[in-house]
Amino acid sequence: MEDSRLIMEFIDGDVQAFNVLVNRWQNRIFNFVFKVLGKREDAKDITQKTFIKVYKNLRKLKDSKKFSAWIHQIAMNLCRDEMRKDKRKPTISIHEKIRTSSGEEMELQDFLSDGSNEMLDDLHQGEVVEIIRRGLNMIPEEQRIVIILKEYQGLKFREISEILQEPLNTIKSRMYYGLNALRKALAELEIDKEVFQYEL
Amino acid sequence: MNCDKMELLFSDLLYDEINEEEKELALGHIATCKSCEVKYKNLRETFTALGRWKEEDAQMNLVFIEEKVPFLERLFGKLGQAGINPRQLVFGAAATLVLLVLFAGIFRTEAIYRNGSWYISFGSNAKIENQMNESILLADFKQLQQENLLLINRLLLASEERVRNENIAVVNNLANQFVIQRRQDLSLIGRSISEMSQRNEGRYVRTNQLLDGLYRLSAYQPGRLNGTRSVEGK
Repeated sequence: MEDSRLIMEFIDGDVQAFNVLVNRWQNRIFNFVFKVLGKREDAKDITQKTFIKVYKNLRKLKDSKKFSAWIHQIAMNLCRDEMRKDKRKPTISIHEKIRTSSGEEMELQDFLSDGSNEMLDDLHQGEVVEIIRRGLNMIPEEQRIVIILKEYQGLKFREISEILQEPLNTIKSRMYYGLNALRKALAELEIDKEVFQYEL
Repeated sequence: MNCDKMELLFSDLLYDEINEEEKELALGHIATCKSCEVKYKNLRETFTALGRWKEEDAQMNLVFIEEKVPFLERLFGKLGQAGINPRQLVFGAAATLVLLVLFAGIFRTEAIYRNGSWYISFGSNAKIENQMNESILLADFKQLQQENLLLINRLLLASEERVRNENIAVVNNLANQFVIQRRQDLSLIGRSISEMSQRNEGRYVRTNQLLDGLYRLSAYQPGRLNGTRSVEGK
């Protein structure tokens, strides 16, 4: 059943239709929020808040076909509130501690300079994720959000333009500069060779 | 195609959100421009690296339970779905009402519903009042006239009924009196006849006695009285 049909049924009073919608979207929204905030527990809280807000305001949604853009907009605004509240800065230190595939906790700098990690094949998926996450956190928020919405949420540039209420070319420009900034950030982390050349 | 324009097309190329014509132009430019070739290669590498962060399971199981939605909220939700902003609708209705009140105040608008018709008038004179009063008076008069006729009819019928009932009662009374009188008369006549009969009987007895006396007196001449009826033999 399409989202728009579920929305209509929910407006007619069927809360189960909303639960189907939640089940369909909770992973996507969680992943979006997690990639923006970088913290799993915060991401869970924000995902929950997003759906509560959706539950309360879904009746006000004029065009049910724009549900995807609308729910992302809600999640994004909540992320921004959270970042403002925490005064979180999108920067990272190479002295931050990470957990390796063997369960050992070590500084990112030491991890990157470790000879055993020269090949990306040796990197555990969780470690790659950690590196990309940290790389994303090092670039400006406006570029990071565009990259996440495009790369991980699979939205069209036009939809991202609607969510962020910015011109289409601005979005494409942010994408271009964001990818360049990310490359530089990853290069600062000295992992460019391993990450970039993997699968190429 | 120049390098500046390529900056916007790189993203389109990466995510294949580009039409065939532009794609051909962009790829043609990359093939001939070393700088853009390097930029595009770097972008693709970063794009590939991003792809390694796969979607994770949220491990959440959000479930919403049914909540009684107030009627107005549900109505506003449906209006919202129909593309109508409920706030604008309420504001519009309120504004229209205020404007109507102002209009009515300024132009002395009168609108009255009476006897199945609407009477509306604008302006400073009381035209509607006069028209309405005249019309209302005529209508009221006709109505009252009809009501009076009905009442009179009812009174006449009631009066006729009463008189008829009275006459029937009088006739019944007379008939009863006649019956009583007749009984009394018959009784009286009966008694009179009986008394007369008794008196006549006495008179017969006395006459018979008298005749017997006379007969005895005339017994001195029996031969003369032979062949006459004997009173004793009776």
